[in-house]
Amino acid sequence: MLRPLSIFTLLCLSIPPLAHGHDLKLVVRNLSEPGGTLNWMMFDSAQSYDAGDNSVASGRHRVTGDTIELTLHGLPDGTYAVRLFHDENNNGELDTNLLGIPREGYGFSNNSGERGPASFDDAAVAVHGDQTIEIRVR
Amino acid sequence: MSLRRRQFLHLLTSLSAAQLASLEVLAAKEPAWASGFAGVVDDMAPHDLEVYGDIPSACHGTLYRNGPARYARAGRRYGHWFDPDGMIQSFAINAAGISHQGRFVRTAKFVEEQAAERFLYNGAGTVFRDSLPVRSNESTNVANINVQPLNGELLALWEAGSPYRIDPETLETRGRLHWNDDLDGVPFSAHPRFDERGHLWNIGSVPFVGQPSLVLYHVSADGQLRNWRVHKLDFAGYMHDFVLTPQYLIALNSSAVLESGETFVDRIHWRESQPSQLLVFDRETFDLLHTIEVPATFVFHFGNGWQDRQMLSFTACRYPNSDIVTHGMRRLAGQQPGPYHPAPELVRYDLSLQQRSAQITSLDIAMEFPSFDGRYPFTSQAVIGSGGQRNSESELGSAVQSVDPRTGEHQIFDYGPGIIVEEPLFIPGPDGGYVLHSFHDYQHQRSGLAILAAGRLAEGPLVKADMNRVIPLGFHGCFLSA
Ligand SMILES: [Fe+2]
Repeated sequence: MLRPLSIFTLLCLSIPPLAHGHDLKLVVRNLSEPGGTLNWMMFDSAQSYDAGDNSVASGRHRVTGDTIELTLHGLPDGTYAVRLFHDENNNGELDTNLLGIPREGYGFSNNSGERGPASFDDAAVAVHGDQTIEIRVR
Repeated sequence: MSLRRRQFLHLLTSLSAAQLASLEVLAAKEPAWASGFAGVVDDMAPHDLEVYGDIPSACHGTLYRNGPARYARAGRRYGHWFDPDGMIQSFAINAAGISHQGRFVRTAKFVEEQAAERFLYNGAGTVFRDSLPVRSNESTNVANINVQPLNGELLALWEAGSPYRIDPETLETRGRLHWNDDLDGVPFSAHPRFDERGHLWNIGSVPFVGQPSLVLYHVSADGQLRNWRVHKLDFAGYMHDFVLTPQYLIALNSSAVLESGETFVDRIHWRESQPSQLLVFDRETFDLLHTIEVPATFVFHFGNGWQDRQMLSFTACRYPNSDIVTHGMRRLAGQQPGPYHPAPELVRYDLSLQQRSAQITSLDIAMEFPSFDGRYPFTSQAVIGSGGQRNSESELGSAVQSVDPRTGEHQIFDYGPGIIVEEPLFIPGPDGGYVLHSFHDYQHQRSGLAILAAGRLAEGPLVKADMNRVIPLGFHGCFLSA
């Protein structure tokens, strides 16, 4: 299971961790300003990714600096995609302008989605051993 | 940086002085005007111009200009005139003389790339390997097209995002203008127009998000957003400027259609078979009243508009296609010699709202960077602009001219090869007023200003002032009298 980073960290893992599973380190960089909450979700299929539910794991972390690192333990082999956003004003959602363009930071695994949202395939990372996923918030 | 230039600079690092001398011929192949696209890397500290002639007191004040200025970082160079970071130039003109300074707009992108000491993002027309994904257009807002006054400060305007606020005294950047959360980062064109009360009106073109759309803005003279509205468009034609009349806003949905492509410029495809649309909006309600089809057209800039009962008239600098933006501006920024794109042609549009038809009359004069006497925005009047593009070495104007769009009466002063005339502006004054413009003297590698009598342009400058440094060629600006 995830090692809690601080009391402000909330994490949900919806699959039972395997004793012989892999460690997945998630490094989130370039958080714009201290304050607010990092919201992330990890999916193992395009279906759940597109629907935005049945995430394999998810978490919320108070943002106190420009980087957050956390590690998931006991992850089975699989293909995973992470998406996240920086809820700067803690209103629980990714704020957008009238065109639906985000006004708060967000990111995807593989730093995919050159302009706007990434597909599951673009964001997918194959996990067969211990691994690090680095996401730059944009 | 162009490949040729990059290879050349690479060669330089490994050659002796004698070998370098033999390479001067190679270096000389870069066209002389290309120095206007070399760019600068630092703010330009205040510097006095050498002034020849007596400056009329009506011209005391400050000329502000904006334009692309940071072309290269860490061995990489932008390849399109739209790309480089904006720099505000100011020319303080008074009885003692003329002083110039330039300061980069501290956009989020500029600050981020300044710290990283390299380009992080693709430009509007340039792709870099390993560029970072963007949050929104704002990630690449370079605020490099125009600078206009609003409520005691200046706006450094781009067209695909929000303007940046600038201190008129220090040229320091005060941050991005935030109208409200809905409009945060929504396109706001670089060509706002002012009515007789000083209210600001603008369009914002949104060609990519869902169905293409156009945002209309009305801002009072004290900077308060009065009204805004989003209209869906039939297709995503490139739009850069529009026309304001006492009752209407008129936008041209051009036949340079934004489709697929890697960069903004790559997405622009000329569609000859797609008629352009003149969209006539009611100025108070922002309702779309008329859509009038005209033959496939590309226009960056319009002159002013006037209205005679049900007839709406305005001028435009029209191109037969969009080669200027897809090829010409690449070639200029890439410091490459021709072939040249077609020259812009001054035309007059007369729209009959009853018949929903447009009559288009060519004045058979090449013109760009049109402007007019801003005191009378809705009166038929001479349009001032740069000229001489048809014989130009660079394809940019070497002349300053004015044309009466009703009579065709034409005044022109052509400096000839060696001078590039930037956007001329009308300054009210005795005896018909003056025309003020900046210029790039690429024969002598000097930048400067000229003042002409508006009614006697052919006599040439009354005042010429220049200095021993080159300002990157820019786009648009404003004159604020003292
Ligand atoms: Fe323009």
